[in-house]
Amino acid sequence: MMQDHEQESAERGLPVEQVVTDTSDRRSALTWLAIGGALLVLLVVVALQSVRDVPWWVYATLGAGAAGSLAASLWKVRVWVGWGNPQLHLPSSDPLRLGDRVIARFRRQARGRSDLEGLGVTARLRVEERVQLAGRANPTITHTIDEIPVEVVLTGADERLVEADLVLDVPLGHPPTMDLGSKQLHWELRVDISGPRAPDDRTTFSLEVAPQVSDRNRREGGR
Amino acid sequence: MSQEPMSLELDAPVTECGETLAGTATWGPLAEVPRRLVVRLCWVAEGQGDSDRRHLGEVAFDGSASGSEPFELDVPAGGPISYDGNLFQVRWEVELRLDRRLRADPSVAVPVTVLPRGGLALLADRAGAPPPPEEVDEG
Repeated sequence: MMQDHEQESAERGLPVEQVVTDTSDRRSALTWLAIGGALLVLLVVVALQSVRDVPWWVYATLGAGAAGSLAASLWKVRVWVGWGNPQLHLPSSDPLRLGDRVIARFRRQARGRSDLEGLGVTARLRVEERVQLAGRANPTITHTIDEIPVEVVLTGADERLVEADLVLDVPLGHPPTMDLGSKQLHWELRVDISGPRAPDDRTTFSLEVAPQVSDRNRREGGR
Repeated sequence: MSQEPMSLELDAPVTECGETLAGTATWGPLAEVPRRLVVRLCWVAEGQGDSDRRHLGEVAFDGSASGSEPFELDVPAGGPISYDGNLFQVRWEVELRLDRRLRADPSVAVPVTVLPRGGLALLADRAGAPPPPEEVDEG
């Protein structure tokens, strides 16, 4: 699969040094499907028990929950099937550096969609602190340090592929990615596709930013 | 804070990821000769949640009642950097610890600031070139 993709990328003159993929649609669809399936099984089990004392609202609740979850999974499957796996091509296999300005290419297969007229792509870089607290539930608290708008140039949107160039500016004043056990400094790129007819779609890519100032800034003295 | 006469002196209190941190450890006269003396580089992440502390390198010297030894410690290229954020902070320190038999190990620590690689040159550029030294008329 990846080899096919790399071959296609090479044919189209795209950088293939680093490809970041996101499969959150698929995971989300499967999660909802699992919840719906479990509730449905529970409903059947309760019904087969034929216990006279089971009140009507138990059936109603289980039925509504199962129907809702299955509908959500179908919606997610629709997005997942309707849009191919999103990919982000970075110009180098090295992590980004502070002060970098790189052009990444976002690609999402359209899988025969015919409703892409008027489609728009927007993107943001998000810098976030995350702390995982101790305890049974392991809750995570987050703090957004910054959301940096990304310049997007839509280079193509047809029934095969939605493609856009993203100009990623990594500000000098921000910290790099850090993984300190229960504490993390996280960078991610959020790409949103929206159109008057096509279903909206959001993709999130985790990015690595090295603790290093880019050569460009070292040459220019941080200007 | 230790009551023992010992101290750490760094060549520079600010360094970069991937660089070597150099300094001198001085101790004595000590009332009891320790088994050894250990200089450690470590970072501490504090704030919300549990604290995390990691030792990243150490240099050990044979125990003696007094002495002074230079040391060098490598700062990892991958960081982390010193950081003061909203939910957590990361601070670096160099620690000198006396390793004593069957007794508490006293220690002293000095803070270090770790910048991203290339950060020192950037700071110097932003601060501008230092003024030229004044000429001294020795006549």
